[in-house]
Amino acid sequence: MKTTEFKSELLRERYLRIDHPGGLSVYVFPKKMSGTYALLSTAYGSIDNAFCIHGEHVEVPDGIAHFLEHKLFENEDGSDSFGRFSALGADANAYTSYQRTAYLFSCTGNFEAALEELITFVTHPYFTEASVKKEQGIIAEEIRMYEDHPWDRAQRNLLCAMYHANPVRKNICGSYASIQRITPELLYRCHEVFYHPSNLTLVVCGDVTPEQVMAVVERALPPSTPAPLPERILPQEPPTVAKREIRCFMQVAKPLFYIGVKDPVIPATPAERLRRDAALTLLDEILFSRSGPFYNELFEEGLITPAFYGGYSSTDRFAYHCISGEADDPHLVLERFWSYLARMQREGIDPMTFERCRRALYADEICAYDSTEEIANRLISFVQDGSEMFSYPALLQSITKEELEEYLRTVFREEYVSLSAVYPLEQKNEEVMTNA
Amino acid sequence: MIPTVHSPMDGVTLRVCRTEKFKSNMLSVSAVLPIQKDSVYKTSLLFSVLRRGSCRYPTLADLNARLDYLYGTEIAIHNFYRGDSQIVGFSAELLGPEYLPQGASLLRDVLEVLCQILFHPLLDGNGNLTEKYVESEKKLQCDAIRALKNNPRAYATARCRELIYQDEPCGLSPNGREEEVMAVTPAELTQHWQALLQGLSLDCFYVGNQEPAELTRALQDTLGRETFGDARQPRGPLCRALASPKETPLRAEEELPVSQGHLMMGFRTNATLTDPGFSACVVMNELLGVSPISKLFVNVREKLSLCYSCGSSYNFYKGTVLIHCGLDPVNRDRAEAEILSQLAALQRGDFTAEELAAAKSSLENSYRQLTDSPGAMESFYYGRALLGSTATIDSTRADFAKVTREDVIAAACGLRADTVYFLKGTLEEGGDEDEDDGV
Repeated sequence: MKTTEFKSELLRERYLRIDHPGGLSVYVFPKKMSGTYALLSTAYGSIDNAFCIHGEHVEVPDGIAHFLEHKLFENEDGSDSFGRFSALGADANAYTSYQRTAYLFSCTGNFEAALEELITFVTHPYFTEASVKKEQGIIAEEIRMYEDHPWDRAQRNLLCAMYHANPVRKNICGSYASIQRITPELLYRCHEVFYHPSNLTLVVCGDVTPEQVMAVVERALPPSTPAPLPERILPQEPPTVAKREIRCFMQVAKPLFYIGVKDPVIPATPAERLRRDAALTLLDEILFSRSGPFYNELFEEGLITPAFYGGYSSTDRFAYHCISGEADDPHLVLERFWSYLARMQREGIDPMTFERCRRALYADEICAYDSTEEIANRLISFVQDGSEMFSYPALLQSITKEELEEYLRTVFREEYVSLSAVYPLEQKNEEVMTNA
Repeated sequence: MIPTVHSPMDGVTLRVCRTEKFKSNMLSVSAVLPIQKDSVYKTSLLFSVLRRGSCRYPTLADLNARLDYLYGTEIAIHNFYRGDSQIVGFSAELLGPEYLPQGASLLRDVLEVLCQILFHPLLDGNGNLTEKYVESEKKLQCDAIRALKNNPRAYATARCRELIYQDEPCGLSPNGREEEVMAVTPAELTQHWQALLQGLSLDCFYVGNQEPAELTRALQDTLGRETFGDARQPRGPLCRALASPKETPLRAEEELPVSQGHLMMGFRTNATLTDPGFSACVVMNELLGVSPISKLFVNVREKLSLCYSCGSSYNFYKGTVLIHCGLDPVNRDRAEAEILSQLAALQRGDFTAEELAAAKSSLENSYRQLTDSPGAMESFYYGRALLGSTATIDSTRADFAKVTREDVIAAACGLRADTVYFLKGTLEEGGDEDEDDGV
């Protein structure tokens, strides 16, 4: 089996990549901690709802990746894998994001048995009509729970406003209606297509050796040969936003806002994407951090509260900047956003600010290596995008002020910007009264 | 990694967990105050005002820029209850010296900022805390009081706590009521700050790779130069005798225009952290509603599919258990009946040896992992120190392992219903109107 070692002098850490002949990629990150964290992930998330396999075009109901995540824990003998992990003293969980579904556990003993359980249950689906029916009730409550979260709702609305067709605009859990269309057959189909070992990655971080991990993989992974991956069908997405503004009314004390700036540039190679990500992350830190003028001016004037965030996030299929907070007047925040950017474009970036923000990001980067959970989840997101995690701190150091000033002039354009706001319900009533 | 205890100067206790395990170090500085109706909300307000600006760093931007320059050190306010005491202060997370270009510790620089915040806030010509900051933080504290309803589950939890502890100090909200917050004047808050300094003792907790002697010197050179604690009183007990449950359980219901309902059920146990029944209560609670094979998860969620989340938590500083279930309001009665029947099952001993073993190994797993997180270490050891307990993580694990089936049954039988609170969501299903509501 081919093994590759990655080392970082700066971080004083190393990890190994081992390519299993069955197609599974395995990453082992040795770390002297009490707990070991393992994560088995498929590059299959909520946005993969249309694909092409063996020449056939397939479309599946929204929310199916997440539904599958819930259902895989049930086994043919009627047992539940949660129970099996518990018996081993391991704490298991799973999550579905736009781009992946990950199954994980942490433990302080019985590592081999828990890893065997993880690989086994993820690769052995078992679904029945009755169990699918039962899950629809649970997931409907999950959807309801998120519906009552104003921040979550504002963010989802923002994605709906920014994107015309990209499925990132849809709820990861699906809708009350779409989950009713999910059947055992569809679940089996998606499992067969996306849970082939060639589409799976195993990451283990903790006080373990690669030999320990590979011995379990050999034993537990069903025999397979590398298979072609389905071709994901992503609809054409125009560079500009679908809607400039979206709003809703909910139980909130003060309006919430999300300003989104769509980034239509998704570089073709992982290395270029990573560099763009590092540069724009640093730029947003400079523009929107709590030590910067935007937050502080608006805060001192009483226009926003401390519940403020600004940052950039990118993947190989969508990318955007996002500024969120609480404000009595979200439109005023948007106005100030534009005047602030105009001023920054005129004045350029102050060298002290540049250095200060780079230091803050550098420290975040180092501190991320204090937690096995954080290491494993970072590693999987770098791996999935095809880039190498240890290259990031040096990349951050290599970014220049001039490079950022160039981005500052080009990335914030009116046609890329949407405003999503959640207003208190009372304001809806006022609006109705005014209209009447 | 059991903390060593030091006393660098009068009125300051330093606890050190020395470890090479982490790249970042953690330092917290806390005051322990009794929760009193006329002061608890002022203390919350005071710490927010102090964090706004000091003589050397007059604005929030100056303070935050200084901290970013110190390699993104965060200084966050912490403000929580342990039993009937308010623990309030600041926590800092700082990058270890071996990852800094000059290899010099940030500790003294960070302590300098902490001293600025606590002892040298920005004052006006009359020696009062700056009116601008006081007024601004009053509004923000009122915003925070109202914003509690933004998160229905957190709101339901807070409301249920108020009802369970209605006759006890910890039933008071740390943010107080809007009217009392708005009535605070800068002069009054300044007096509160001065009184706090006069009575002040500080507890410092450190997790990281610096030697206690270095830490002691750094504290002496910074905190040691400040004046505080002239009128210090000995600290009162943290936990009072356990309150008895209400004669008939209190039932309350409220409506909120949200789609999910939240059922909260509060129970009294007969054990706090320092009582003999503590370990049995922890194991019982794990079996009832913490692990994924708990009675509540398996039955209320998995078997009856009544909810997405259903679980319980044990407040061992107060000896109470709080059960939460987030559900469609029409399922409320079925869920309540099922929760009670699962509790009755524990009381009858209707659980298998495997379930008990799994609950114990789940606890073993989470307690062993406490040493992987500086914050968890602090929470464990400082929490115990506050109650005068010398238990270690290892001794606590050993105590859990000794818990028998009979102990669990006894702990479950010791639960007495105190309060049932229901937050009824009144919105109809499917709030999808927003997608069509663009302008």
